[in-house]
Amino acid sequence: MKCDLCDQEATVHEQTIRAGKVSERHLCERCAREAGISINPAAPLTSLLSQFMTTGKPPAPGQAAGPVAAAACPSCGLTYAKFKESGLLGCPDCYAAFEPSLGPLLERAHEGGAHHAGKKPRRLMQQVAAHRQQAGAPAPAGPPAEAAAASAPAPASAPARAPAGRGESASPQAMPVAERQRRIVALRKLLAVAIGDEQYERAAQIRDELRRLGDPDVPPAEPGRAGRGPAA
Amino acid sequence: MNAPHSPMSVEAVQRGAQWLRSSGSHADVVISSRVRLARNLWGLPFLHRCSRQQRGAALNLCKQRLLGLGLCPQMLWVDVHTLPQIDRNLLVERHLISKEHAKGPPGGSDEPRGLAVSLPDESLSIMVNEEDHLRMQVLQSGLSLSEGLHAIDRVDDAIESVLDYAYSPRFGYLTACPTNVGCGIRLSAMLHLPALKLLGDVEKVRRAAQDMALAVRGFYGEGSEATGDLYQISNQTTLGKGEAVLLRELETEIIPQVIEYERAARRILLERKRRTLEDHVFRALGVLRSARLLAPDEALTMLSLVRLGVLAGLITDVPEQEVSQLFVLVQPAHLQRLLGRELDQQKRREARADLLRQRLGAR
Ligand SMILES: [Zn+2]
Ligand SMILES: [Zn+2]
Repeated sequence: MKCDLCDQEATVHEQTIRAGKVSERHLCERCAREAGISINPAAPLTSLLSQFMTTGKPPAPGQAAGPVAAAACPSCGLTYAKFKESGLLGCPDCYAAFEPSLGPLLERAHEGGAHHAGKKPRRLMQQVAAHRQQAGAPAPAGPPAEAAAASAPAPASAPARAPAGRGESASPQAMPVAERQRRIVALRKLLAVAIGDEQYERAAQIRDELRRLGDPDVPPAEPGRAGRGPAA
Repeated sequence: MNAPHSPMSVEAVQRGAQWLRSSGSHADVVISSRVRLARNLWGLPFLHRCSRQQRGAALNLCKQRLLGLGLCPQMLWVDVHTLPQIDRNLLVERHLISKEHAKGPPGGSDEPRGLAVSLPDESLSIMVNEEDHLRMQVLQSGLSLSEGLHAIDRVDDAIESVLDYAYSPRFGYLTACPTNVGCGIRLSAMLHLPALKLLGDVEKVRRAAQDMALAVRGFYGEGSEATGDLYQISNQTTLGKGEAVLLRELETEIIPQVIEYERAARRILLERKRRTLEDHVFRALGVLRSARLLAPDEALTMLSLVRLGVLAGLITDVPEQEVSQLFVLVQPAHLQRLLGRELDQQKRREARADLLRQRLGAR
């Protein structure tokens, strides 16, 4: 089967059911990645997310991306100097990467406005609510102690872009690849929202779910260590 | 279906633009209202950092989804980059795309670009691959920002139901330029202020607007001169305030004030400086009915005064709507489209004068 967007062979098949209507898309690996529906989509991991995924530690209050802005956006490579030159950011992750410098700049540009106070994307919020409900249901999302992290300092927060090996947990591997990819992408979005909302306990749950799904960017838990809970 | 090289039929061009039909509330002063949202796709770099392949993927994805949504009974899709320059300019003159979206040589690095537009009213238009992946607008005549906001909100929800947006809880909708981040919204009204201009009071409006962090721009947007005494007032900040607050500041605070200023100025001119007003207005009509060569700026200046004369009841043999439509019809691409051929600058001046004499001829 051909890809919907180009002439390559489609390898990612997605089916969505909305309002009773079934829609399907069939994409090649590259188009799927560019459409943000495959593992390692173009810009999935902010420095913030990868920091959280590797350490499980919430960023210190008021320093969401660390005390200093990254010199370059880990997702798109844009430097802060280049941004100041052009006035344009490179990708959505630039906001998190440059937050310490960008925050005050935005406040000036927006007459003191620092936090979004308007509309929220409806479907995304529904996904967040549905996931929250699901997580609150009987089956607990793993004992909190297991969501622990190394007490070592955060490794350099370069995003794990390597084609890492599959996760080794059991059940989700039975899932079709496309379905797994879809879930991983959906969970990453939810993870970004949870961290942005400073809901670190939920973020840790989502991180664990990602790990169980075999998200290559989540390092395996270290069973030997009894770490601190993420919301500590 | 239109031929690929003519996004707008000649009939549509002749009809002028719906947003210039001078209907809706406060249409004596407020020509049109526009609500625009900027949105980007999650998982892709912003446009200027996209590879050509990513741009193509974004365009195809948006095109497919937008057309599949059935946002309006008839939606026209235009591959903007394949259009001849004159047709792109036509879309700019009709305020359906930005100047930036019309730029770029064929095969250039900023292709492909697209436009979805509702027909026949053209009130909804969505630019794909402009500065942001999606720039959608609702454009209507008169003061209709709240209706426009309501309409664009539903369009936005529909699009978000099939496309993932770049969004963060702190910064809101993420945009390439951080001045748009947050709500990603621009609410703007185009006001016709000829009486304030005659009385030399436009600066007051500009200052009052600036005090409220609103921007004042000309007919064709950013950096353009206010030819034809047309001014756009819009919000400048998008972070830290919700859509409703931004709407209130414009639609119930500043714009009604400006409308009242302009109406008061028109009354002052009529009551205390009637002869001067008549002189301005009838000279302008005289020029439009007699000139054999007209540059665009001069035509707009005269049209503005004629519109004032019609609204003040001084000119009675020209319908106001006709005058308003001419603001767009005298623009270069429209003229060439009406005549069906390319014209150099001199020929355009001739054609402009001919059109105005014909449309405003004494009855
Ligand atoms: Zn493909
Ligand atoms: Zn970036």
